[in-house]
Amino acid sequence: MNRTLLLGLDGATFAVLDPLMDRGLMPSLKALVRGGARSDLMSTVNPLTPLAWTSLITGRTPGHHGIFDFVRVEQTGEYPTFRLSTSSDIRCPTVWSMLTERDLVSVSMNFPVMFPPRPFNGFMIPGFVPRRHLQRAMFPPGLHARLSGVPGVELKELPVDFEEERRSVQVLEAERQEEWVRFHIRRERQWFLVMKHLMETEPWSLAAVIFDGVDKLQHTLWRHIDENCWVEAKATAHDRMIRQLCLDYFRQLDDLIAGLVAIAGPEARVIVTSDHGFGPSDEIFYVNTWLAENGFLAWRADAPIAADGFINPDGMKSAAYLFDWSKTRAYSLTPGSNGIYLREPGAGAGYQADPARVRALRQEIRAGLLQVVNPKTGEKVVRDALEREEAYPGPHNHLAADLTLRLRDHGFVSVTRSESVVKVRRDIAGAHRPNGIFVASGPGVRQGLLLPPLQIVDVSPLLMHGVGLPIPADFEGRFAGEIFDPQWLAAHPAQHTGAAAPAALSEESGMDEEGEATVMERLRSLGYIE
Amino acid sequence: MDTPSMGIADPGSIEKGVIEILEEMTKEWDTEFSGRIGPDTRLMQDLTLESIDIVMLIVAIEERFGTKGLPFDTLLMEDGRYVEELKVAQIAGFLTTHLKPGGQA
Repeated sequence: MNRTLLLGLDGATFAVLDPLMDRGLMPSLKALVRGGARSDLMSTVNPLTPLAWTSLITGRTPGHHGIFDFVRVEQTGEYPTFRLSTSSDIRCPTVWSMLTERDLVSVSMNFPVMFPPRPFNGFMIPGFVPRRHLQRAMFPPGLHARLSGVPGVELKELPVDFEEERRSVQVLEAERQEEWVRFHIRRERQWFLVMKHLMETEPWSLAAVIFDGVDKLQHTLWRHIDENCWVEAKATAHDRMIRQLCLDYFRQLDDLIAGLVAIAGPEARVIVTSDHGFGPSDEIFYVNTWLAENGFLAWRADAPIAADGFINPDGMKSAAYLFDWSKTRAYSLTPGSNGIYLREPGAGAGYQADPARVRALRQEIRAGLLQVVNPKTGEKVVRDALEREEAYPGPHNHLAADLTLRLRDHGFVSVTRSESVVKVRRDIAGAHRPNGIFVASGPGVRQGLLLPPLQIVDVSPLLMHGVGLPIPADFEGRFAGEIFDPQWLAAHPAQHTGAAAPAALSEESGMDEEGEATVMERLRSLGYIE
Repeated sequence: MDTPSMGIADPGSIEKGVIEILEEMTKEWDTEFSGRIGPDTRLMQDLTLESIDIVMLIVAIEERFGTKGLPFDTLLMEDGRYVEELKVAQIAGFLTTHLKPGGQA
């Protein structure tokens, strides 16, 4: 049987993992690297979790799959709002649906933008699901009850507290650090136990899980984790304790990797990837403050100045309520998108902007952004501001921001109000980087191979090949055949279809009722649902 | 799983749909509410919905009624925060207005 195990380490970077492997803290990952191929894995243009993982599991770039942020911005009312990005916002098939077409079983754990789950031939717990919605978020129905009976499984550890997470990846006070790390140690173990149970009891072809504590710890504890930032001599006793806990997190992660690789067995292909990399961030760019200072945006009189370090408004409040929309022509709503949207004040829903005016306004803003400097260092803060057509080629890029910013330190913009456009951070934080990780091992994979960087859309062809399926013609990545021994590859060549992947989702509401009913009926006949 | 999407319907069907969504969403919740959900049921006080639950409710409504882009903020938001109370009938009324032909959906 052709099997592939996909281990996602959200935000993992070799900058952190190499020192841990060298020090003997991650021997299992080291063994995978030595016994297989490795490379950097270049993320989506904006290296953000929902875009990047969606590219990895669809083989398509964001302009084609339609996911540009954790949320989708809607400009249908008097002023823009945002809604949670959901599975029906993904405009092309996922690997899960492609395997379903061939009656192959998938296990999908903790992938973003998978809620609500679409009927498919497999087992799914979507990522980013709040506690009280976990049970109905699982597929198939009954999975919650089944897993509740598995020894050691504590499903209450899996959900996300959105508000706590939103706060903790911005500013994590010293007294909350220990519990934050311990929570992620417990949570990763739960994902492992769920995976272990399903992999041991189901005839899976593709088993995939994202361990996202890597990202969650690196955001606010980067200086404790990164060898280049950690200064033992200056560390307090608390800092040392937190660093040891972070190292414990990575030790356990290595054990969990070892456990799942063992369950998959020697005949399985193992792919370890991240969605993006990580690195230090030492400044915050307050993009809306810059837009206001340059006449593109107006604050409401009561818009508060944000506390140090925060890039989002307090609590779950939307940035939309900070602006005077009657005078705002350009704005950023979420830090993650690093995006600026344009609008015509007072135009309302359905307004069609003059393309020439839009273009001129984009270019005017872009030219100004490229001149922004950090007053303390004199360095330019914005590397580039890409127009949506160049950042996200594809039929759905009208859903993306007009401009996508790349900052000097790859940090996220702040959408909050500030006294100054650029501030130096009090403590170094972790920020996303374009270069994530790729490791592959298993039958036919050459040992000890170091490759030039792959693209994130290059992973999906390897997933399809790994489960013995042809690679759809509309995948945008390439099949990285160079990771295999030539003789082995000659005996196991990649098959390519001349056709696009089937069942692209409609723009309105994802799979239609008829399509959903067909899949449900098929799953009933296979005995996966009642 | 949410109930598969349905087309635009009459006010009675819309209210029934909203009630079914809330019943499905809250059936496993540990609340003191023991009655049947109806038009006068209060989302926050009776069903204990919090802001993140409202976010998920909007997702469920979008899935159920097969539409996106409804101006929910005019119903749900007040000064940047979710309103303190809301009844089932208010949501159904909002959907009846905006899902009918010529509405903003």
